[in-house]
Amino acid sequence: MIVKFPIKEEYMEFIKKVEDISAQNIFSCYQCGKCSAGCPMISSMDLLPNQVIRMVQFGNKEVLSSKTIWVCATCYTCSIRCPKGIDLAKIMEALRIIALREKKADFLKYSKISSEDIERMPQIALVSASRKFTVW
Amino acid sequence: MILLRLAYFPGCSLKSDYQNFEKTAIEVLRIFNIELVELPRWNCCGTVFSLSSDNLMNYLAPARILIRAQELNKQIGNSNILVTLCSMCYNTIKQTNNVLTADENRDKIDTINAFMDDEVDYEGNVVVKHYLEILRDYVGFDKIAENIKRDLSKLKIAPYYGCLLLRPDVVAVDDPEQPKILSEIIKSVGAEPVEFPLFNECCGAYNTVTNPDLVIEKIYQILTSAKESGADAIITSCPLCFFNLDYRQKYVSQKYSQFSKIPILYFTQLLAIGLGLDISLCEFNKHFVDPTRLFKERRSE
Amino acid sequence: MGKSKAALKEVEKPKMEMVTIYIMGKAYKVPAGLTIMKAMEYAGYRFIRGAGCRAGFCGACATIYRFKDDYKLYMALACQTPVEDGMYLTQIPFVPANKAKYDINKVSPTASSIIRYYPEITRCVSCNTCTKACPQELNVMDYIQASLRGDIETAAKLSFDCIQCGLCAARCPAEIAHYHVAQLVRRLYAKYYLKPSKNLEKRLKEIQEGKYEEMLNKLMKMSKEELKKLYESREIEKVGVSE
Repeated sequence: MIVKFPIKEEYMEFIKKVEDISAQNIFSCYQCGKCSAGCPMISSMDLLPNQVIRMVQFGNKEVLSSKTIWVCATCYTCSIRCPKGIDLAKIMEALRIIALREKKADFLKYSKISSEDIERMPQIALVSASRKFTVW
Repeated sequence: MILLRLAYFPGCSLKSDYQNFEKTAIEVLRIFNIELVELPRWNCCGTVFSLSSDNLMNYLAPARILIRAQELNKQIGNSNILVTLCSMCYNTIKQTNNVLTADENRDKIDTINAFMDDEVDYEGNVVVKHYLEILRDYVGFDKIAENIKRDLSKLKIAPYYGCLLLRPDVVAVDDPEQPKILSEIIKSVGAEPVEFPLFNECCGAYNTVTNPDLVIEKIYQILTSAKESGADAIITSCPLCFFNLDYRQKYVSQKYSQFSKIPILYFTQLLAIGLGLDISLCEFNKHFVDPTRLFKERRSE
Repeated sequence: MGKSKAALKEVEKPKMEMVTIYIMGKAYKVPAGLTIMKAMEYAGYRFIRGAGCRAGFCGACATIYRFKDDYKLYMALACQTPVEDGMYLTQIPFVPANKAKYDINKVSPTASSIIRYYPEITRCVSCNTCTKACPQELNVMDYIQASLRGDIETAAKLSFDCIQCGLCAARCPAEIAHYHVAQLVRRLYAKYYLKPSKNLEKRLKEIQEGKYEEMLNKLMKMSKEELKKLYESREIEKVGVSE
């Protein structure tokens, strides 16, 4: 018996956008949880990485307001361990990009960084943070 | 006498706060007759590698660097290699190079070449290597061991790889889950490598800008794990890991009063000391946790 | 006694070569050989903003134009660039850009300092659009990159001829205000790398001691007519006269 879950047009639109930007097949994920098991930033996340994928599979845009996508450090641990070969880092990136473009606002506020930190940190800290957390 | 000249990309951080990483790296290779020739007119690599498929703009910065390497290699004539020292730069440039040399990306490559009409076209011949690979493949660990001038046998050093040296697989300099290369370096200088479980656990990277508390927690875990395994110091290859592991210890001590600091070194600093170079080259005064006492107490010279 | 009738025959005025330019989309026939600024004034426009020294130095008259059937954007200074047939023009009299507030005596000559006041330079993608926009043909991307890695000297030297017209900032996808960054870098270069100018110190001392007070006060009290007379009778160096 085949059970069909019709996905609403607006949800499909979101899923398609994520797939386009990440060049990954969202529906490959079978929720084994290996990504969440290896993720080093778990302690600061509200949604686990595998839960984020699940929500995207259902077209649920609430993932864009989760803490998870802003705490991801692009360490690629999930990407190299996924048994289905899904590059989860790219999916997280796609979600950040969609969130930033929709809000048209940066996640990173330069004025909030302490001047002591800015003086001490290497340029690559700010270059990479700007790359990840500002609108393009 | 210089036998091999290699095109070299430093990256912004190695030219300002972390010149000690670069200086020690250059002098160490010089002992083995290899000269690192800095690219002319280079730009920031724009780390980290952009993971979106719809944005070509983020390939421009690394593409320019590859073109500079291509043109420099035509002049110095040794090879088509580009050496990088900073793990983040290495990862960014290498992943971009993979995109720009893949046949299925012909249209992207053409678009980028056409857009950069002020540059020659990138022909796709540059091979990006990390400095560690040069040590392993062009010098050899045995050769390093033969040239050691200081006794570091009493030092226990933990190798910390971080993320971008080992992941994703296209850039990995060694096996991502069981790498050996940094341990080999430690052994070659005569010190004792201390394996510890969090050797490739992410330090938090750029979260140090937006979420420093998270980084402080990660650092606490990583450093405690290394200390519990018996390490006296930790070596790293990335200026951002270095900043997080070294400077953020200030905040770890504030949060965990029983935490005792542990010195962080660049692997090139360890090599420089082992190979008998002047310790002042390491500029230990720039570190938050000064490693000098390690070498005063332990080494015999 | 009068001139002969033959000599009085009408001299035909030589035909002036005219070109068509489009100012904010509207076509105007203007004499070729005029600068964009003069051509716009010929067409009846009056510059209240976006005009200054008229000598290519103040950066007020930033202009962007295209030609018909050509997708390329060109950037220039209106007071220096002659009109060409088919130019589609727009003026950029002002580019919004924040200048950071800092006390130069408290800023160190490092990349971190520059990033502290202008963190957006870490967004630079090396697209080189700024360099292509510069009417002074400066290597804008190169000086921003030099600033990013803390090479104060290179950045100061490369940006020296900048007239702060703002065209680079208007075009930058990373939303950097290049000329403000360059100004900070040049001030740091002067403060930390160059020898202090003895003549400048001397002049500042003279000013502080009031050497020029009387002259300045006299000028401030003059009427418009008196000032005009003074200006018109000023000493002018004749061109081509040696000594």
